Order: sequence, then C-alpha cells, then structure tokens
Amino acid sequence: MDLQLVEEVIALILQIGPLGVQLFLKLESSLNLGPDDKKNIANAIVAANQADQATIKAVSDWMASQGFKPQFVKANP
Amino acid sequence: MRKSKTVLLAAILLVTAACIHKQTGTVTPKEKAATFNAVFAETNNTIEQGAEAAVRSGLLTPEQGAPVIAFTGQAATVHLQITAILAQSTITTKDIASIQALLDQIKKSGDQAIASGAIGIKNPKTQNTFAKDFDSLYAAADAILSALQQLQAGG
Repeated sequence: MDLQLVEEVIALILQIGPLGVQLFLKLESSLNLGPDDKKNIANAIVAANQADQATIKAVSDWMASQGFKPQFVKANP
Repeated sequence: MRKSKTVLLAAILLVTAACIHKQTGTVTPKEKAATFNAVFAETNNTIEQGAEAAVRSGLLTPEQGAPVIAFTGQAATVHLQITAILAQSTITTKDIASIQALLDQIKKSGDQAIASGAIGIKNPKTQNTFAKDFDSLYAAADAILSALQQLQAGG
C-alpha cells in the first residue's frame, strides 16, 4: 500500500494544527483516493471548487446580512 | 497544553489515516498539487466560518471581522482560477508562474486583512489566532507550489 500522499497530507495538516482535524475529516470524505491518479485529481478539483463556492456564498450572505458590500477582487496576476 | 493538542491531533489523524489512502501506484506531483489545492480551499472555508463565529460571539465586531471575511471571499474567487489551471490536462511553466502570481496576490491581500484588527483574536473554530490561521493557509499555498515545482522538474 502506497501511503506517500497520505503521509504528505498528514504532514501538511499537522503543520496547519488544530484547524487540520476538521480539514482532514472533510478531505477524508471528499477525496477518497484510489489507484487512478486522474480520478484522484478530478476528485480533488471538485472538492476545491465546492469549498470555494461555499466560501463565496457564505461571504456574500454574511456581507448582505451585515449591510456590507461584497468586496471581491478580480484576479490579475 | 499546545503539546497535548498536537498529540491529540496526531492521534486522530493516525486513526483516520486509513480512510484517506491510495492503494497502489506512484503519487504524481500533479496529484499532490491537486490534493494540497483542496486543502487550501477547505482551510480558507474554515477561516471564513471561524470569522463569522467570532463576530457572532462578540470576539470581533462586524467591522473587525469584515476584512477577514471579505478576504476569504476574495481568496476563494482567485483560487477558483488556480483550480481551473490545475484541472487542465497539461500544465506549462507559464501556468505555474500564473499560479504563483495568484497565490502571491492572495497572500498580499491576506496580510492586509489580518493587519486590520483581527491579528491576535482566536478563531473559535480552530483555537488559533487568525494570524496563525492565515499562516496555515499560506503553508497550503507553499505546498501547492512545491508540488508544481516537482512537476516542472519532471518529478
């Protein structure tokens, strides 16, 4: 069993600290890593997009509830 | 106290590690980059939830919480572009440079947001200060870049 990626994720999450427990549990349910690297990448992409969309919606809702204007910036690398 | 928290965290992760595993084969740099990219998005989402909770509980005023919450929205918006690049079948050197620039942009906005007043306040969701949570987000950003550099080097 190749646990290289698991070890690296755990190392990163340990670095992140207490925030990491919730993170790990979320990732455990959303990534479901298997032997197919393309499928793993696709799952990770979906998980990232879902988390970002959830954040954007939460921020928008909170800003509206507090009477603030959303202050999103466009990316301009 | 901090040491015991770390031990507890390590124990939880070890117990649950079997649930997030790759059965066979070599882990590719792109796989790592995509996984760390998901960690970044989830970390950002957790910071947002914590900032809202801090305002609800009175640890932060809405005016103090707004820059942190707005930052997470900005970071998520920019991060969607990074994820779109990572979803491409081929990632070029130019793409990696674009991702680095986008992550640098997120860090710069984060530094401005955290300087606005929430720097020493503890996030109720993580029991870390928001400044420390932002460091965690930056660590995830660095991990993405490190994996992409392996990809660039042909690893």
